[in-house]
Amino acid sequence: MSEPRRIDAVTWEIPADARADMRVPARVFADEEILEAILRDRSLEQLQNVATLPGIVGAALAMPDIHQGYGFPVGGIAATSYPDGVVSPGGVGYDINCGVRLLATPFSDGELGARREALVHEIARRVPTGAGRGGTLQLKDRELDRVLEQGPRALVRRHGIGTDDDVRHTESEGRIDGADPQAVSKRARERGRDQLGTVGSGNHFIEVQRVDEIHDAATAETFGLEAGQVVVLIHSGSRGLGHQVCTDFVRRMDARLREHRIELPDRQLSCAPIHSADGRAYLAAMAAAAAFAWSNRHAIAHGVRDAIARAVDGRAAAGTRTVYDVAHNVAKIEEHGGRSVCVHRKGATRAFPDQPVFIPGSMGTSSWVLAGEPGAMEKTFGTVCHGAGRRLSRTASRKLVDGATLRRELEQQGIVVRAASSKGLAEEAPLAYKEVDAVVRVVADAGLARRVARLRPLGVVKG
Amino acid sequence: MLLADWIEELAFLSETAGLYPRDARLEVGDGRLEGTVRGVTGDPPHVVKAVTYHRLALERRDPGWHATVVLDV
Repeated sequence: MSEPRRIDAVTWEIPADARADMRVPARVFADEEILEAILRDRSLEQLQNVATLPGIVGAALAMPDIHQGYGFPVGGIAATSYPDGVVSPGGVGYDINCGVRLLATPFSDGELGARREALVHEIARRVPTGAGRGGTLQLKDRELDRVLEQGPRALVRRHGIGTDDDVRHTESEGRIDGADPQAVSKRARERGRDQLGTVGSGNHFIEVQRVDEIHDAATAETFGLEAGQVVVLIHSGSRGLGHQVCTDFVRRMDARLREHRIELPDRQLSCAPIHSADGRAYLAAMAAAAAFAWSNRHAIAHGVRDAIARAVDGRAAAGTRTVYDVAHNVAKIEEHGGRSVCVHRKGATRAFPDQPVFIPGSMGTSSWVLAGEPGAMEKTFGTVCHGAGRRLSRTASRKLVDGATLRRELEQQGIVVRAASSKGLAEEAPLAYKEVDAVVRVVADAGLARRVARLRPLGVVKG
Repeated sequence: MLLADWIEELAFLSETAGLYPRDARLEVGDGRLEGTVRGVTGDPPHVVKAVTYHRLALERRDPGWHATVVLDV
Protein backbone atom coordinates (compact mmCIF):
# COMPACT_ATOMS: atom_id res chain seq x y z
CA MET A 1 0.00 0.00 0.00
CA SER A 2 1.25 3.54 -0.76
CA GLU A 3 2.20 5.76 2.15
CA PRO A 4 -0.12 8.71 2.68
CA ARG A 5 1.50 12.08 2.06
CA ARG A 6 0.89 15.04 4.30
CA ILE A 7 -1.35 17.87 2.99
CA ASP A 8 -1.52 19.94 6.20
CA ALA A 9 -1.28 19.44 9.98
CA VAL A 10 -4.29 17.12 10.12
CA THR A 11 -4.84 15.97 6.51
CA TRP A 12 -3.12 13.11 4.66
CA GLU A 13 -3.69 11.80 1.17
CA ILE A 14 -3.00 8.81 -1.04
CA PRO A 15 -3.22 10.14 -4.61
CA ALA A 16 -5.56 8.58 -7.15
CA ASP A 17 -2.64 7.40 -9.28
CA ALA A 18 -1.34 5.18 -6.45
CA ARG A 19 -3.39 2.32 -7.87
CA ALA A 20 -4.70 1.78 -11.37
CA ASP A 21 -8.25 1.11 -10.16
CA MET A 22 -8.62 4.20 -7.95
CA ARG A 23 -10.88 6.91 -9.40
CA VAL A 24 -10.28 9.56 -6.72
CA PRO A 25 -7.72 10.12 -3.96
CA ALA A 26 -8.07 8.59 -0.48
CA ARG A 27 -7.91 11.30 2.18
CA VAL A 28 -7.59 10.91 5.95
CA PHE A 29 -7.97 13.41 8.79
CA ALA A 30 -5.49 12.54 11.53
CA ASP A 31 -2.50 13.76 13.50
CA GLU A 32 0.80 11.85 13.44
CA GLU A 33 0.01 9.66 16.43
CA ILE A 34 -3.46 8.73 15.20
CA LEU A 35 -2.13 8.03 11.69
CA GLU A 36 0.42 5.65 13.18
CA ALA A 37 -2.42 3.75 14.89
CA ILE A 38 -4.46 3.77 11.65
CA LEU A 39 -1.54 2.29 9.70
CA ARG A 40 -1.51 -0.75 12.01
CA ASP A 41 -4.61 -2.26 10.42
CA ARG A 42 -5.83 -2.49 6.81
CA SER A 43 -8.23 0.43 6.96
CA LEU A 44 -6.31 2.64 4.49
CA GLU A 45 -6.14 -0.20 1.98
CA GLN A 46 -9.91 -0.49 2.41
CA LEU A 47 -10.25 3.26 1.88
CA GLN A 48 -8.35 2.91 -1.40
CA ASN A 49 -10.78 0.14 -2.37
CA VAL A 50 -13.65 2.57 -1.70
CA ALA A 51 -11.93 5.05 -4.05
CA THR A 52 -12.57 2.57 -6.91
CA LEU A 53 -16.39 2.78 -6.68
CA PRO A 54 -18.07 3.85 -9.93
CA GLY A 55 -19.27 7.45 -9.70
CA ILE A 56 -17.38 8.37 -6.52
CA VAL A 57 -16.71 12.12 -6.40
CA GLY A 58 -14.10 14.25 -4.61
CA ALA A 59 -12.22 11.71 -2.53
CA ALA A 60 -12.78 8.62 -0.40
CA LEU A 61 -12.66 10.26 3.02
CA ALA A 62 -11.74 8.95 6.45
CA MET A 63 -12.14 10.45 9.87
CA PRO A 64 -9.54 10.09 12.66
CA ASP A 65 -11.60 7.29 14.24
CA ILE A 66 -11.25 5.12 11.11
CA HIS A 67 -10.65 1.40 11.63
CA GLN A 68 -10.96 -1.75 9.60
CA GLY A 69 -14.48 -2.89 8.74
CA TYR A 70 -16.14 -5.35 6.36
CA GLY A 71 -15.23 -4.11 2.90
CA PHE A 72 -15.57 -0.43 3.77
CA PRO A 73 -13.62 0.94 6.71
CA VAL A 74 -15.60 2.21 9.70
CA GLY A 75 -15.23 5.99 9.94
CA GLY A 76 -15.40 6.57 6.20
CA ILE A 77 -17.38 8.72 3.77
CA ALA A 78 -18.06 8.05 0.10
CA ALA A 79 -20.12 10.51 -1.96
CA THR A 80 -21.27 9.16 -5.31
CA SER A 81 -22.79 11.11 -8.15
CA TYR A 82 -26.61 11.03 -8.13
CA PRO A 83 -28.24 9.27 -9.91
CA ASP A 84 -25.56 7.82 -12.21
CA GLY A 85 -23.13 6.69 -9.48
CA VAL A 86 -23.54 3.59 -7.34
CA VAL A 87 -25.08 3.00 -3.95
CA SER A 88 -23.49 0.35 -1.75
CA PRO A 89 -25.15 -1.31 1.27
CA GLY A 90 -21.69 -2.05 2.71
CA GLY A 91 -20.94 1.68 2.55
CA VAL A 92 -23.69 2.19 5.12
CA GLY A 93 -22.94 -0.93 7.14
CA TYR A 94 -24.98 -3.71 8.70
CA ASP A 95 -26.40 -1.62 11.52
CA ILE A 96 -28.32 0.86 9.38
CA ASN A 97 -28.73 4.16 11.24
CA CYS A 98 -26.74 3.09 14.21
CA GLY A 99 -26.65 6.43 15.99
CA VAL A 100 -26.75 8.47 19.15
CA ARG A 101 -29.45 10.39 20.99
CA LEU A 102 -28.72 12.77 23.85
CA LEU A 103 -31.37 13.51 26.48
CA ALA A 104 -31.00 16.51 28.80
CA THR A 105 -32.61 16.16 32.23
CA PRO A 106 -33.74 19.18 34.27
CA PHE A 107 -31.58 18.21 37.28
CA SER A 108 -27.90 18.40 38.20
CA ASP A 109 -25.53 15.72 39.39
CA GLY A 110 -25.72 17.29 42.89
CA GLU A 111 -29.52 17.16 42.87
CA LEU A 112 -29.50 13.52 41.72
CA GLY A 113 -27.10 12.70 44.55
CA ALA A 114 -27.41 9.20 45.98
CA ARG A 115 -30.28 8.35 43.62
CA ARG A 116 -27.71 7.87 40.86
CA GLU A 117 -27.44 4.13 41.44
CA ALA A 118 -31.22 3.74 41.54
CA LEU A 119 -31.49 5.62 38.22
CA VAL A 120 -28.97 3.36 36.46
CA HIS A 121 -30.67 0.33 37.94
CA GLU A 122 -34.14 1.48 36.78
CA ILE A 123 -32.86 2.12 33.25
CA ALA A 124 -31.38 -1.40 33.17
CA ARG A 125 -34.75 -2.80 34.32
CA ARG A 126 -36.85 -0.85 31.86
CA VAL A 127 -34.76 -1.01 28.72
CA PRO A 128 -33.85 -4.51 27.50
CA THR A 129 -30.17 -4.94 26.61
CA GLY A 130 -28.11 -7.78 25.18
CA ALA A 131 -28.38 -9.85 22.05
CA GLY A 132 -31.64 -11.06 20.58
CA ARG A 133 -35.11 -10.40 21.79
CA GLY A 134 -37.14 -8.91 24.57
CA GLY A 135 -38.82 -5.64 23.56
CA THR A 136 -42.01 -4.73 25.38
CA LEU A 137 -43.58 -3.25 22.27
CA GLN A 138 -45.19 -5.87 20.05
CA LEU A 139 -46.15 -4.37 16.70
CA LYS A 140 -48.75 -5.73 14.34
CA ASP A 141 -47.92 -5.69 10.62
CA ARG A 142 -49.76 -2.45 9.88
CA GLU A 143 -48.16 -0.77 12.88
CA LEU A 144 -44.68 -1.89 11.86
CA ASP A 145 -45.37 -0.55 8.34
CA ARG A 146 -46.19 2.86 9.77
CA VAL A 147 -43.00 2.92 11.84
CA LEU A 148 -40.92 1.92 8.79
CA GLU A 149 -42.52 4.65 6.72
CA GLN A 150 -42.92 7.52 9.18
CA GLY A 151 -40.36 6.80 11.91
CA PRO A 152 -40.86 8.02 15.50
CA ARG A 153 -43.79 10.26 14.56
CA ALA A 154 -45.88 7.09 14.19
CA LEU A 155 -44.98 6.14 17.78
CA VAL A 156 -46.05 9.55 19.08
CA ARG A 157 -49.36 9.57 17.19
CA ARG A 158 -50.39 5.93 17.43
CA HIS A 159 -48.82 4.69 20.64
CA GLY A 160 -48.40 7.80 22.81
CA ILE A 161 -44.65 7.16 23.02
CA GLY A 162 -42.47 10.29 23.28
CA THR A 163 -43.40 13.75 22.05
CA ASP A 164 -43.46 15.83 18.86
CA ASP A 165 -40.65 17.87 20.40
CA ASP A 166 -38.48 14.72 20.46
CA VAL A 167 -39.20 14.21 16.75
CA ARG A 168 -38.34 17.82 15.90
CA HIS A 169 -34.96 17.31 17.59
CA THR A 170 -34.10 14.28 15.48
CA GLU A 171 -31.95 14.35 12.33
CA SER A 172 -34.30 14.85 9.36
CA GLU A 173 -37.18 14.40 11.86
CA GLY A 174 -36.52 10.68 12.06
CA ARG A 175 -37.33 9.82 8.45
CA ILE A 176 -35.86 9.78 4.97
CA ASP A 177 -37.96 10.40 1.85
CA GLY A 178 -38.78 7.30 -0.14
CA ALA A 179 -38.92 4.85 2.78
CA ASP A 180 -40.91 1.83 1.58
CA PRO A 181 -41.93 -0.94 4.02
CA GLN A 182 -42.57 -3.23 1.03
CA ALA A 183 -38.88 -3.09 0.13
CA VAL A 184 -38.02 -4.65 3.52
CA SER A 185 -37.99 -8.46 3.37
CA LYS A 186 -40.27 -10.62 5.49
CA ARG A 187 -37.16 -12.02 7.14
CA ALA A 188 -35.97 -8.54 8.15
CA ARG A 189 -39.40 -7.75 9.59
CA GLU A 190 -39.41 -10.97 11.56
CA ARG A 191 -36.04 -10.15 13.09
CA GLY A 192 -37.05 -6.61 14.02
CA ARG A 193 -40.67 -7.09 14.99
CA ASP A 194 -40.15 -7.31 18.76
CA GLN A 195 -36.86 -5.39 19.00
CA LEU A 196 -38.16 -1.84 19.11
CA GLY A 197 -37.04 -0.12 22.30
CA THR A 198 -34.09 -2.47 22.88
CA VAL A 199 -30.39 -1.60 23.01
CA GLY A 200 -28.83 -4.80 21.65
CA SER A 201 -25.27 -5.98 22.19
CA GLY A 202 -21.77 -5.07 20.97
CA ASN A 203 -20.75 -1.46 21.52
CA HIS A 204 -24.31 -0.29 22.20
CA PHE A 205 -25.11 1.27 25.56
CA ILE A 206 -27.00 3.85 27.58
CA GLU A 207 -24.81 6.14 29.66
CA VAL A 208 -25.89 8.54 32.42
CA GLN A 209 -23.46 11.47 32.35
CA ARG A 210 -22.85 14.92 33.76
CA VAL A 211 -21.91 17.97 31.72
CA ASP A 212 -18.33 18.32 32.87
CA GLU A 213 -16.95 21.28 30.91
CA ILE A 214 -18.56 23.88 28.69
CA HIS A 215 -16.34 24.98 25.79
CA ASP A 216 -18.76 27.16 23.85
CA ALA A 217 -21.23 28.84 26.22
CA ALA A 218 -23.49 30.37 23.56
CA THR A 219 -23.97 27.12 21.65
CA ALA A 220 -24.35 25.11 24.86
CA GLU A 221 -27.17 27.46 25.83
CA THR A 222 -28.84 26.95 22.44
CA PHE A 223 -28.60 23.18 22.96
CA GLY A 224 -30.00 23.61 26.51
CA LEU A 225 -26.87 22.34 28.26
CA GLU A 226 -25.15 23.71 31.38
CA ALA A 227 -22.31 22.59 33.63
CA GLY A 228 -23.25 19.96 36.21
CA GLN A 229 -26.44 18.94 34.39
CA VAL A 230 -27.28 15.24 34.13
CA VAL A 231 -27.69 13.96 30.56
CA VAL A 232 -28.35 10.51 29.11
CA LEU A 233 -26.62 9.24 25.95
CA ILE A 234 -28.32 6.44 24.02
CA HIS A 235 -26.29 4.48 21.44
CA SER A 236 -28.17 1.89 19.39
CA GLY A 237 -29.40 1.19 15.87
CA SER A 238 -31.84 -0.79 13.74
CA ARG A 239 -31.09 -4.15 15.41
CA GLY A 240 -31.76 -7.36 13.46
CA LEU A 241 -34.00 -5.58 10.95
CA GLY A 242 -31.22 -3.36 9.62
CA HIS A 243 -28.71 -6.21 9.57
CA GLN A 244 -31.07 -8.26 7.45
CA VAL A 245 -31.73 -5.41 5.00
CA CYS A 246 -27.97 -5.05 4.49
CA THR A 247 -27.51 -8.83 4.15
CA ASP A 248 -30.36 -9.06 1.60
CA PHE A 249 -29.00 -6.29 -0.61
CA VAL A 250 -25.30 -7.21 -0.45
CA ARG A 251 -26.33 -10.60 -1.81
CA ARG A 252 -28.76 -9.23 -4.38
CA MET A 253 -26.29 -6.67 -5.77
CA ASP A 254 -23.40 -9.16 -5.70
CA ALA A 255 -25.38 -11.40 -8.05
CA ARG A 256 -25.78 -8.59 -10.60
CA LEU A 257 -22.32 -7.02 -10.60
CA ARG A 258 -21.47 -8.48 -13.98
CA GLU A 259 -24.75 -7.32 -15.47
CA HIS A 260 -23.96 -3.79 -14.29
CA ARG A 261 -20.34 -4.16 -15.51
CA ILE A 262 -18.93 -3.39 -12.08
CA GLU A 263 -15.60 -4.82 -10.94
CA LEU A 264 -14.67 -4.61 -7.28
CA PRO A 265 -11.58 -5.41 -5.22
CA ASP A 266 -13.75 -6.87 -2.39
CA ARG A 267 -17.19 -8.48 -2.73
CA GLN A 268 -18.37 -6.73 0.42
CA LEU A 269 -18.25 -3.46 -1.58
CA SER A 270 -21.14 -4.92 -3.58
CA CYS A 271 -23.14 -2.09 -5.15
CA ALA A 272 -25.55 -1.11 -7.93
CA PRO A 273 -26.24 2.06 -9.92
CA ILE A 274 -28.52 4.32 -7.87
CA HIS A 275 -31.02 4.53 -10.73
CA SER A 276 -31.20 0.72 -11.21
CA ALA A 277 -34.07 -1.31 -9.74
CA ASP A 278 -31.74 -2.75 -7.07
CA GLY A 279 -30.29 0.65 -6.22
CA ARG A 280 -33.71 2.23 -5.80
CA ALA A 281 -35.04 -0.74 -3.80
CA TYR A 282 -32.03 -0.61 -1.45
CA LEU A 283 -32.48 3.12 -0.79
CA ALA A 284 -36.20 2.52 -0.07
CA ALA A 285 -35.43 -0.37 2.31
CA MET A 286 -32.53 1.47 3.93
CA ALA A 287 -34.73 4.51 4.57
CA ALA A 288 -37.30 2.21 6.22
CA ALA A 289 -34.60 0.60 8.39
CA ALA A 290 -33.32 4.08 9.29
CA ALA A 291 -36.84 5.06 10.39
CA PHE A 292 -36.91 1.90 12.50
CA ALA A 293 -33.60 2.85 14.18
CA TRP A 294 -34.78 6.39 14.95
CA SER A 295 -37.97 4.86 16.37
CA ASN A 296 -35.86 2.46 18.40
CA ARG A 297 -33.87 5.24 20.09
CA HIS A 298 -37.12 7.20 20.51
CA ALA A 299 -38.69 4.20 22.32
CA ILE A 300 -35.54 3.67 24.42
CA ALA A 301 -35.74 7.35 25.45
CA HIS A 302 -39.32 6.68 26.57
CA GLY A 303 -38.00 3.85 28.77
CA VAL A 304 -35.36 6.20 30.19
CA ARG A 305 -38.07 8.75 31.05
CA ASP A 306 -39.97 5.98 32.87
CA ALA A 307 -36.83 5.18 34.81
CA ILE A 308 -36.36 8.86 35.71
CA ALA A 309 -39.99 9.04 36.91
CA ARG A 310 -39.34 6.06 39.14
CA ALA A 311 -35.88 6.96 40.46
CA VAL A 312 -36.38 10.75 40.68
CA ASP A 313 -39.95 11.95 40.06
CA GLY A 314 -42.57 12.55 37.37
CA ARG A 315 -41.70 16.21 36.92
CA ALA A 316 -38.06 15.37 36.21
CA ALA A 317 -39.20 12.80 33.64
CA ALA A 318 -41.53 15.27 31.91
CA GLY A 319 -38.77 17.88 31.88
CA THR A 320 -36.30 15.55 30.13
CA ARG A 321 -35.80 16.78 26.56
CA THR A 322 -34.15 15.33 23.47
CA VAL A 323 -31.17 17.56 22.64
CA TYR A 324 -30.75 15.83 19.28
CA ASP A 325 -30.49 12.43 17.62
CA VAL A 326 -27.88 11.73 14.94
CA ALA A 327 -27.33 8.80 12.60
CA HIS A 328 -23.83 7.54 11.95
CA ASN A 329 -24.51 4.70 9.47
CA VAL A 330 -26.64 5.95 6.61
CA ALA A 331 -26.73 7.05 2.95
CA LYS A 332 -28.53 10.26 2.01
CA ILE A 333 -29.09 12.19 -1.18
CA GLU A 334 -27.78 15.71 -0.55
CA GLU A 335 -26.62 18.78 -2.46
CA HIS A 336 -22.91 19.53 -2.16
CA GLY A 337 -20.86 21.88 -4.31
CA GLY A 338 -23.81 22.50 -6.61
CA ARG A 339 -24.46 18.84 -7.41
CA SER A 340 -26.61 16.02 -6.07
CA VAL A 341 -24.66 13.23 -4.42
CA CYS A 342 -25.44 10.10 -2.45
CA VAL A 343 -23.39 10.52 0.73
CA HIS A 344 -22.54 7.17 2.34
CA ARG A 345 -21.58 7.67 5.97
CA LYS A 346 -20.36 4.54 7.70
CA GLY A 347 -19.31 5.31 11.23
CA ALA A 348 -19.45 9.01 10.45
CA THR A 349 -21.90 11.70 11.54
CA ARG A 350 -23.68 14.33 9.50
CA ALA A 351 -22.46 17.71 10.77
CA PHE A 352 -24.20 20.58 9.00
CA PRO A 353 -23.28 24.04 10.32
CA ASP A 354 -24.37 24.48 13.97
CA GLN A 355 -26.03 21.06 14.07
CA PRO A 356 -25.39 19.13 17.35
CA VAL A 357 -23.05 16.13 17.00
CA PHE A 358 -22.33 13.61 19.78
CA ILE A 359 -19.07 11.71 20.00
CA PRO A 360 -19.22 8.92 22.56
CA GLY A 361 -15.84 8.05 24.05
CA SER A 362 -15.06 4.53 25.15
CA MET A 363 -16.80 3.24 28.25
CA GLY A 364 -15.81 5.13 31.38
CA THR A 365 -14.11 7.98 29.52
CA SER A 366 -15.49 11.33 28.40
CA SER A 367 -17.86 11.94 25.49
CA TRP A 368 -18.21 15.16 23.50
CA VAL A 369 -20.95 17.43 22.25
CA LEU A 370 -19.79 19.24 19.10
CA ALA A 371 -21.43 21.57 16.61
CA GLY A 372 -20.89 21.33 12.85
CA GLU A 373 -18.74 24.00 11.17
CA PRO A 374 -18.77 25.34 7.59
CA GLY A 375 -15.43 23.52 7.01
CA ALA A 376 -17.32 20.21 7.02
CA MET A 377 -19.46 21.40 4.08
CA GLU A 378 -16.32 22.37 2.15
CA LYS A 379 -14.17 19.34 2.94
CA THR A 380 -16.24 16.33 4.02
CA PHE A 381 -19.74 16.57 2.52
CA GLY A 382 -20.95 17.91 5.89
CA THR A 383 -19.55 15.08 7.99
CA VAL A 384 -17.42 14.45 11.11
CA CYS A 385 -16.26 11.46 13.14
CA HIS A 386 -18.55 9.24 15.24
CA GLY A 387 -16.51 8.01 18.19
CA ALA A 388 -13.11 7.19 19.56
CA GLY A 389 -12.49 4.42 17.02
CA ARG A 390 -11.15 0.98 17.81
CA ARG A 391 -7.45 0.45 18.38
CA LEU A 392 -7.74 -3.25 19.30
CA SER A 393 -10.07 -5.92 17.98
CA ARG A 394 -12.66 -7.36 20.34
CA THR A 395 -10.65 -10.58 20.63
CA ALA A 396 -7.43 -8.71 21.42
CA SER A 397 -9.23 -6.64 24.01
CA ARG A 398 -10.70 -9.75 25.66
CA LYS A 399 -7.21 -11.25 25.94
CA LEU A 400 -5.91 -8.21 27.80
CA VAL A 401 -8.86 -7.32 29.96
CA ASP A 402 -10.94 -9.24 32.43
CA GLY A 403 -14.56 -8.04 32.49
CA ALA A 404 -15.02 -8.45 36.24
CA THR A 405 -11.82 -6.48 37.03
CA LEU A 406 -12.85 -3.74 34.62
CA ARG A 407 -16.24 -3.51 36.29
CA ARG A 408 -14.51 -3.07 39.68
CA GLU A 409 -12.19 -0.40 38.27
CA LEU A 410 -15.09 1.56 36.78
CA GLU A 411 -16.97 1.31 40.06
CA GLN A 412 -13.90 2.58 41.92
CA GLN A 413 -14.08 5.67 39.69
CA GLY A 414 -17.64 6.12 40.93
CA ILE A 415 -19.26 4.83 37.71
CA VAL A 416 -22.27 2.57 38.25
CA VAL A 417 -22.16 -0.40 35.85
CA ARG A 418 -24.98 -2.68 34.71
CA ALA A 419 -23.87 -5.05 31.95
CA ALA A 420 -25.58 -8.04 30.36
CA SER A 421 -22.23 -9.86 30.02
CA SER A 422 -18.72 -9.49 31.47
CA LYS A 423 -17.25 -10.64 28.17
CA GLY A 424 -19.07 -7.85 26.38
CA LEU A 425 -17.69 -5.44 28.95
CA ALA A 426 -14.10 -6.63 28.31
CA GLU A 427 -14.54 -6.18 24.53
CA GLU A 428 -15.46 -2.54 25.06
CA ALA A 429 -12.67 -1.73 27.53
CA PRO A 430 -11.25 1.81 27.24
CA LEU A 431 -7.80 0.51 26.20
CA ALA A 432 -9.38 -1.01 23.06
CA TYR A 433 -10.12 2.49 21.79
CA LYS A 434 -8.21 5.55 20.68
CA GLU A 435 -8.24 8.59 22.91
CA VAL A 436 -11.53 10.41 22.18
CA ASP A 437 -10.05 13.81 23.11
CA ALA A 438 -7.35 13.36 20.44
CA VAL A 439 -9.93 12.36 17.81
CA VAL A 440 -12.02 15.44 18.64
CA ARG A 441 -8.93 17.68 18.53
CA VAL A 442 -8.29 16.60 14.93
CA VAL A 443 -11.82 17.35 13.68
CA ALA A 444 -11.76 20.71 15.50
CA ASP A 445 -8.32 21.59 14.04
CA ALA A 446 -9.53 20.58 10.59
CA GLY A 447 -12.41 23.07 10.97
CA LEU A 448 -15.09 20.38 10.62
CA ALA A 449 -16.75 20.94 14.03
CA ARG A 450 -16.28 22.94 17.22
CA ARG A 451 -16.26 21.69 20.80
CA VAL A 452 -19.38 22.62 22.79
CA ALA A 453 -19.24 20.50 25.94
CA ARG A 454 -17.48 17.54 27.45
CA LEU A 455 -19.48 14.88 29.28
CA ARG A 456 -18.30 12.54 32.06
CA PRO A 457 -19.96 9.19 32.82
CA LEU A 458 -21.85 8.58 36.06
CA GLY A 459 -23.29 5.21 35.14
CA VAL A 460 -23.45 2.82 32.21
CA VAL A 461 -25.98 0.23 31.07
CA LYS A 462 -24.45 -2.10 28.48
CA GLY A 463 -25.64 -4.89 26.24
CA MET B 1 -22.13 -18.41 -1.46
CA LEU B 2 -24.35 -21.37 -0.63
CA LEU B 3 -22.40 -21.89 2.57
CA ALA B 4 -22.76 -18.21 3.51
CA ASP B 5 -26.51 -18.48 2.88
CA TRP B 6 -26.69 -21.63 4.96
CA ILE B 7 -24.88 -20.04 7.92
CA GLU B 8 -27.14 -17.01 7.58
CA GLU B 9 -30.15 -19.29 8.00
CA LEU B 10 -28.62 -20.51 11.28
CA ALA B 11 -28.10 -16.92 12.41
CA PHE B 12 -31.73 -16.16 11.59
CA LEU B 13 -32.98 -19.16 13.57
CA SER B 14 -30.70 -18.23 16.43
CA GLU B 15 -32.17 -14.74 16.67
CA THR B 16 -35.83 -15.54 16.04
CA ALA B 17 -36.13 -19.00 17.66
CA GLY B 18 -33.23 -18.98 20.15
CA LEU B 19 -31.44 -21.89 18.40
CA TYR B 20 -28.02 -22.57 19.91
CA PRO B 21 -26.26 -24.80 17.37
CA ARG B 22 -23.79 -27.31 18.82
CA ASP B 23 -22.90 -29.54 15.93
CA ALA B 24 -23.36 -29.48 12.17
CA ARG B 25 -22.72 -31.84 9.28
CA LEU B 26 -22.65 -30.64 5.71
CA GLU B 27 -22.89 -32.42 2.42
CA VAL B 28 -22.10 -30.48 -0.70
CA GLY B 29 -23.25 -31.77 -4.06
CA ASP B 30 -23.84 -30.49 -7.53
CA GLY B 31 -25.04 -26.93 -6.88
CA ARG B 32 -26.68 -27.99 -3.66
CA LEU B 33 -25.81 -28.09 -0.02
CA GLU B 34 -27.48 -30.17 2.63
CA GLY B 35 -26.79 -29.83 6.29
CA THR B 36 -27.97 -31.25 9.57
CA VAL B 37 -27.71 -29.14 12.67
CA ARG B 38 -28.12 -30.28 16.21
CA GLY B 39 -28.49 -27.82 19.00
CA VAL B 40 -30.55 -26.66 21.90
CA THR B 41 -32.73 -23.64 22.46
CA GLY B 42 -31.41 -21.00 24.77
CA ASP B 43 -29.12 -17.99 24.78
CA PRO B 44 -26.18 -18.55 22.44
CA PRO B 45 -22.85 -17.17 23.77
CA HIS B 46 -22.34 -15.27 20.51
CA VAL B 47 -25.17 -13.99 18.42
CA VAL B 48 -24.23 -13.84 14.77
CA LYS B 49 -25.79 -10.65 13.47
CA ALA B 50 -24.74 -11.09 9.87
CA VAL B 51 -22.76 -13.27 7.50
CA THR B 52 -20.51 -11.02 5.40
CA TYR B 53 -18.99 -11.46 1.93
CA HIS B 54 -15.81 -9.86 3.23
CA ARG B 55 -12.85 -12.05 2.14
CA LEU B 56 -15.23 -14.90 1.42
CA ALA B 57 -13.08 -17.75 0.11
CA LEU B 58 -13.21 -21.46 -0.65
CA GLU B 59 -10.06 -23.44 -1.38
CA ARG B 60 -9.07 -27.05 -1.91
CA ARG B 61 -6.89 -28.40 0.86
CA ASP B 62 -6.02 -31.97 1.63
CA PRO B 63 -8.27 -33.45 2.84
CA GLY B 64 -11.37 -31.72 1.50
CA TRP B 65 -12.18 -28.05 1.21
CA HIS B 66 -11.44 -25.07 3.41
CA ALA B 67 -13.87 -22.16 3.61
CA THR B 68 -13.39 -18.69 5.10
CA VAL B 69 -16.53 -16.83 6.11
CA VAL B 70 -16.35 -13.63 8.18
CA LEU B 71 -19.25 -13.25 10.60
CA ASP B 72 -20.48 -10.02 12.17
CA VAL B 73 -21.06 -10.68 15.87
